[in-house]
Amino acid sequence: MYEYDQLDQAFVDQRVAEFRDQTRRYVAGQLSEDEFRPLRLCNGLYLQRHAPMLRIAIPYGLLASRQLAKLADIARRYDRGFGHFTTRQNLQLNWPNLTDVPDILAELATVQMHAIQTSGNCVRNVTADHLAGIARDEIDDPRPYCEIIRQWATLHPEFTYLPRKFKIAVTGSPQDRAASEVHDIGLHMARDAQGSIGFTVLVGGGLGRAPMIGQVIRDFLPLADLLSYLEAILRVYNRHGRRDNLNKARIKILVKTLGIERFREQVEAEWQLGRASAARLPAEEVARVRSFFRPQPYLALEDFDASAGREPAFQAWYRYNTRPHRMSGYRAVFVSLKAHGQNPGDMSSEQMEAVAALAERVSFGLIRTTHNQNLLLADVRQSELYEVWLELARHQLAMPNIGTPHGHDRLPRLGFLLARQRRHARGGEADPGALRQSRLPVRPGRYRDQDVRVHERLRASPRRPHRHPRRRQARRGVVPDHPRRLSQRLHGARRSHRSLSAEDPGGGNHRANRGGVSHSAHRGRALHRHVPPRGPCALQGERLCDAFCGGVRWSRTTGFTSAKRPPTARR
Amino acid sequence: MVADDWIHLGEEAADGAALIVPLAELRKDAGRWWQWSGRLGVRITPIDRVEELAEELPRLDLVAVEFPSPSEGRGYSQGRLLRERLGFRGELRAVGAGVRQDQVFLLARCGFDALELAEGEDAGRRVPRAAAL
Repeated sequence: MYEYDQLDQAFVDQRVAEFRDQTRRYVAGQLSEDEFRPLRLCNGLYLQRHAPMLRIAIPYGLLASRQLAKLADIARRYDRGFGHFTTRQNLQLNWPNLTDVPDILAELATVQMHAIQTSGNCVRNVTADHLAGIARDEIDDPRPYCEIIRQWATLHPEFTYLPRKFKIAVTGSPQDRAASEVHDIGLHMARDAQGSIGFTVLVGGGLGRAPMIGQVIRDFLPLADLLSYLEAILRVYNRHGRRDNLNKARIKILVKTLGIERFREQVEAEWQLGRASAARLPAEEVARVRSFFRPQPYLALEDFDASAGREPAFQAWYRYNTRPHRMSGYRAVFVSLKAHGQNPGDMSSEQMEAVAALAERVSFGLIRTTHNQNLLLADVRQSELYEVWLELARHQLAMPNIGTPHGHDRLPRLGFLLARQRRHARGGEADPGALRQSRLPVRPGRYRDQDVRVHERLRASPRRPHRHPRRRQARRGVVPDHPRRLSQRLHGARRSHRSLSAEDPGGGNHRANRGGVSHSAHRGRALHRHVPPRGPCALQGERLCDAFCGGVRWSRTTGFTSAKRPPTARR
Repeated sequence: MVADDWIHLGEEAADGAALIVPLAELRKDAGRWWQWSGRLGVRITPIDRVEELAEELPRLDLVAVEFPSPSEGRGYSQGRLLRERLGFRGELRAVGAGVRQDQVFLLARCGFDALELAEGEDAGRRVPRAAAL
């Protein structure tokens, strides 16, 4: 993995000292809230309703054992003994004290970590395929290019005050395992006819309240032009992206408003003008960064079926939670952070320490975080899989549910997407290209917990108090949690369904009333039977499902729709 | 920190003073301002396209780029374009309510060589660091 040089370390240390001073002045009342906000945001610190939240950067999801152990230590000493791994491969601490944050950052700096540019309207952590470097279908390891982009984007003077946050993902294989289609910029590694490395560039994807799939802006971008092209895209966005409305400030809105052709024209024009003066990426620099991601010193081993003759629980885990490795004799092992009753992505200090120690023993001391909020031990010898399973199971980290929607009950149901598509098909909305929620009635109270925004459904965690105060009450026993709300949704749906009159099948707002989850819960089976899932909306849904669940879908009425039915958990 | 002999339009200006005129005003009354006896600068807002200034730049001694709020980022692009693409060699100045000490480092790297800090900003504190960079 990338090691800091002296300059990097000095820079991070200086940032810690600077933030310590700023925090001290804020606490002493010398800095106002308004003045402190941009300063804390550029260090990853949010001050939310109930507690501060500190988001720690894990560049492209790569962690060393000592770093994970340090995170465990920090979570125990400064937080409540757990951390939350996010869909962008970072770690969030939800309960630190403001005055402790400088100390936390200082601790992080000792293991070459920081929280710079994890919030604010800048280029955020660059994410990568979690199987980078070990996948058999890979064109090239994307992580060196992530690192190059990270270095270029860190404190970029021009792009630190963009209209809105900016997220880039790089995937090295034809199969997009980095959800790059739903990023502001998605880079897919490719080779041209001469066999040289480059990228297919997607732009304008995103989740949130207006989920969109990114569109191809350039089929092949030579590696040497990577940074100048990114600069052109970001400059067009910086100059022309909307700044008047927070909800319309992401680049996806600009791309959608202009149309991909016009946006491409503007970027190409900007690129041609700026290309001459922009730095081309020298081959030596690429080689230098690549040298940090050399293959591990693998042993020459033979492949064998480690699950043969073992107990069914191990076989299930082997089938779902391990993946083939480029090297024979090795397998990649997922550490599932999606045990029943656990919040997806949460991990206790004890678990972190156990995984750190395990990685040190069996996987060259490296751990990866995935955009599905699990961890990955990338290079485990097949002969050691059984012991690894035992160890993970001991810490409730071996639930065989990777690549299934088990952990992703927050994905939109396919039925919901199909319902949306049917509405488009009737001409209800002009643009079926984007999944939009805005036409649903906004009725605070009744629909509040029926939050159908896709992004929220992907990442919401009940233990993020600043977003889910109700859940916090639930934990305290004030409000009974999930079951009651579930039944409320279903009853609400039935009531509105019954109130339909035969003369008014399409009018009124009943359709809108039934929109979202309750609709699909009630009608899911019928939808699956009658509507071919082929329209643009359903297609988007499928691609989201592919990106996050490996293609397996779940419907509340029919169960898993794919033949790949995961086994029940055995403990 | 240096004494500033530039005067914004609207402030009291004697004939022959160094004057900063908003771009809109310059366009509206071009004849008058190009005849100005002293040095002339122009003040641009975030929505102005700097490319349209290309021909006039050699005759200008200063371009003042406006940052109406701290989160305004278009000025950085304008600054880089003026310096790198349009080859502007005069003074490039950041002005407006959004110019804070924290931005000094970014502004300097985008080609700015002068700034008018927003009211209430303490100029002394961050200057050593900016100088160090």
